[in-house]
Amino acid sequence: METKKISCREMVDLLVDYLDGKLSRETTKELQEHLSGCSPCISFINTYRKTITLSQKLKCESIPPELQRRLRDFLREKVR
Amino acid sequence: MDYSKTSDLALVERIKGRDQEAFAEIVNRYENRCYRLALRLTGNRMDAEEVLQDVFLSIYYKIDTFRGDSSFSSWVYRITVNTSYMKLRERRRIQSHESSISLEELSPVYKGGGHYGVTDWSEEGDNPLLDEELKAVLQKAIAELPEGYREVFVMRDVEGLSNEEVGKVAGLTVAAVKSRLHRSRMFLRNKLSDHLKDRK
Repeated sequence: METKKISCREMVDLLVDYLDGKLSRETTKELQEHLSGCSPCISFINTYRKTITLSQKLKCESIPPELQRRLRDFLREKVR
Repeated sequence: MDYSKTSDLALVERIKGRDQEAFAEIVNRYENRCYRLALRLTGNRMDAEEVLQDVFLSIYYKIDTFRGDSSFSSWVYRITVNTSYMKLRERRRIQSHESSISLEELSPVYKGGGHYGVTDWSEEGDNPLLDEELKAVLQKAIAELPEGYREVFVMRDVEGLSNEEVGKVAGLTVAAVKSRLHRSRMFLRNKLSDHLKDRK
């Protein structure tokens, strides 16, 4: 069976599910076939993925010790 | 008493009985997550600190309103989101300043043929110094996302919640979560691209 050709625009719209591994096998194959012949889309996916990776690094931020101390002092005072 | 291995739900029952140590354990478990979310939504540490105080006071004094129809973490995130936006609206009322972008700016822009004329800068970001620079650009851009999009993005891509969990906190369908997430990512990706272009 001939696979449907995905356009660049459709590729972008499918990205969330593609990167989450939630596309059907057939659609994943169609998307990957598109990518194998479209270097702008490969560049786009790479930069889209990089944006996500950088965002995930923001999770390393912890509450500053001074703020943590003030919060706990505040709650100790207010919560009885 | 060591509550470190006690489940959230068991701690909730103890907090209802005014167990201060159980409450302290909840503060310990959630302060980092709530801080990061409040910081990203309000955009500054001072407001984030005030939000945290209000969030944990709400948890303690309104613990009886937690009915258990969602997870405790969803309930805590929802309180944090609502309190953060109340703080933001309070500040904007005082400053008369609208800092977030319009929804039109979140619509993807398609060039002819669907290509975006993309330069692949993903490899450039493997430099740790540049990474720090891009994270700063990202933090500033996240603050420009409108309400309704910012918390979806932060909970999903920064905090790592699932689409379903984000939907429960934000009161959205999974489809709506995915749509807002995608538009937010596109906007942020474009901001990073513009920064790298201007740098050269």
